[in-house]
Amino acid sequence: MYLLSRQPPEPFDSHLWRKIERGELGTLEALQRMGGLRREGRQSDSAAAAALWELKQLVGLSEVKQVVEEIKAYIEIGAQRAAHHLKCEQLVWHMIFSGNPGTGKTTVARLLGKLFKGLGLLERGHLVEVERADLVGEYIGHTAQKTREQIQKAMGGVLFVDEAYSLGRGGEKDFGKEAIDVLVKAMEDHRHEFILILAGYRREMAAFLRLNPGLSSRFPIQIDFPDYSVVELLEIAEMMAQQRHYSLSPEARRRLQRYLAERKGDLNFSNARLVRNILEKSIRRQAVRLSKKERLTREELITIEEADLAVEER
Amino acid sequence: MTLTIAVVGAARVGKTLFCINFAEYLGARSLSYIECGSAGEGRGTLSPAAAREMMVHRGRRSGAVVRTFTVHLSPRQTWRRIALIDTASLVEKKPLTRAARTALLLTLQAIHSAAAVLQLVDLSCHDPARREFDDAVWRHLADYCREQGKLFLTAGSKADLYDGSLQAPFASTEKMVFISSLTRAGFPRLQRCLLGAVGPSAQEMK
Ligand SMILES: Nc1nc2c(ncn2[C@@H]2O[C@H](COP(=O)(O)OP(=O)(O)OP(=O)(O)O)[C@@H](O)[C@H]2O)c(=O)[nH]1
Ligand SMILES: [Mg+2]
Repeated sequence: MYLLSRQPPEPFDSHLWRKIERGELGTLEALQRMGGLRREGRQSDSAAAAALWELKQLVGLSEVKQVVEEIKAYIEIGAQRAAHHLKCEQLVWHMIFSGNPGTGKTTVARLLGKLFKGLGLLERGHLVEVERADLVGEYIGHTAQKTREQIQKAMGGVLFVDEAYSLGRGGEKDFGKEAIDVLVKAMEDHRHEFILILAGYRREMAAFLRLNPGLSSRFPIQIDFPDYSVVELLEIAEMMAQQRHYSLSPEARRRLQRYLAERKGDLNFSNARLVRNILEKSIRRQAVRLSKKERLTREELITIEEADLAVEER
Repeated sequence: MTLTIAVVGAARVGKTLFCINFAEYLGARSLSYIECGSAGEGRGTLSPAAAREMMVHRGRRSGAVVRTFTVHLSPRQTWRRIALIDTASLVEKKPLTRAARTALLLTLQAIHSAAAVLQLVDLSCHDPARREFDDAVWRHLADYCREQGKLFLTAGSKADLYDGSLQAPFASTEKMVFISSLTRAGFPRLQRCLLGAVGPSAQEMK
């Protein structure tokens, strides 16, 4: 039938459809539920808003935040254009994230999943995080099978391939190539059912894309995650400490600042991850120091002193 | 650009006659239509007079059918085309028969795909149960359209038969446009409400 077969871009609720089909609802109940459809939509609007709010809370990442705002605006306006029967292309949202370790790639990917779910683009919005070992197998056919399994898990959500460039290593005979082929096929066949994010260090990703020239054009969104500045890293450190009910003494803060400034140029400087490792180690050191004392004040329990700070001199 | 308007209402309120006569009023000399219901699909092109003869006057009930009339307007107007969807009549009785369920699904689908929804209420009908049904339909549709950002209008049809006694509880009386598909009374006002600045219709230019 015409109206049934030529489905509009967004068919009304399939759940409601089935209930009417089975004869469980009369006309008025069906209409009432139609009116209620968007109320659920409102909830997911707030889910989208929550994801965006969470993103805004992240330190730095101004460029990333701007791109995400653009994506959200585009999707919302697209929905309104569709209501007026104006052309609106359903874009593909596969992405490439490049940046050093600890620059927030996974965190942003997780938030994007939530945002896309809130906007109604993804059904589940969950994140499946994989790396080469989860995709590449040991014998012929094994890789395709493993990769397909991971894609299946990510359906309705985000498949995040960390250190994706490692799939391009090892030359022609490597099974990594097979994994890429399976991913590329899935991102075409299921373009609106999941989002593929390839992530990795900037330089390696650039080289990887150069070696696989067909690939770059399939990822319309490529986001660069710059290293955090020292000031931003300190802010992150304080936020992480606060979340764990700790606080840095002014001396500890200054010491950390000096240390971060020294290390920032290092080749494998791991940004927020380094800060987190330092903080967690420092918390353990503080515990050891405090355990030697008799009576402890709340202040002492909270404060991380310079001596606790797990930063090693070079 | 096509403006899609879903015309909805209970049985025999005048949905079909309205679609045909409003299309004619907008300048259509021939009407192409596609219809479907539980019995299948049909399509064709008719003059407005032949359409009235076939779809309204022969005592033909088109209750369980959803039919889309496409009206081509002059290219200078904002809307190149208008699709008037003559939906299946909304049935009060429960449970719904198989055919009525299919018709309801098609109607809801039509409402969902439309940019504007026009509910017709029969001004010549005095049955209080019908009034209450119309009122409930009005509330749910108003809710739905507000939330979806669709234009929603209610029109009292068969105004030529109206004796001035429309009663509460029909909640939207004061916002209702009164029309008569027979005399075309109320059509200019409705056109303004639905199409905004579409420009003069063929009728007005004569
Ligand atoms: N007097 C008068 N009669 C009308 C008017 N509009 C429709 N009718 C009559 O009302 C009856 C029903 O009209 P339809 O257009 O078939 O109504 P409908 O809503 O399509 O009916 P179903 O599809 O069967 O639900 C017909 O006999 C029409 O001639 C009107 O404006 N004035
Ligand atoms: Mg009819």
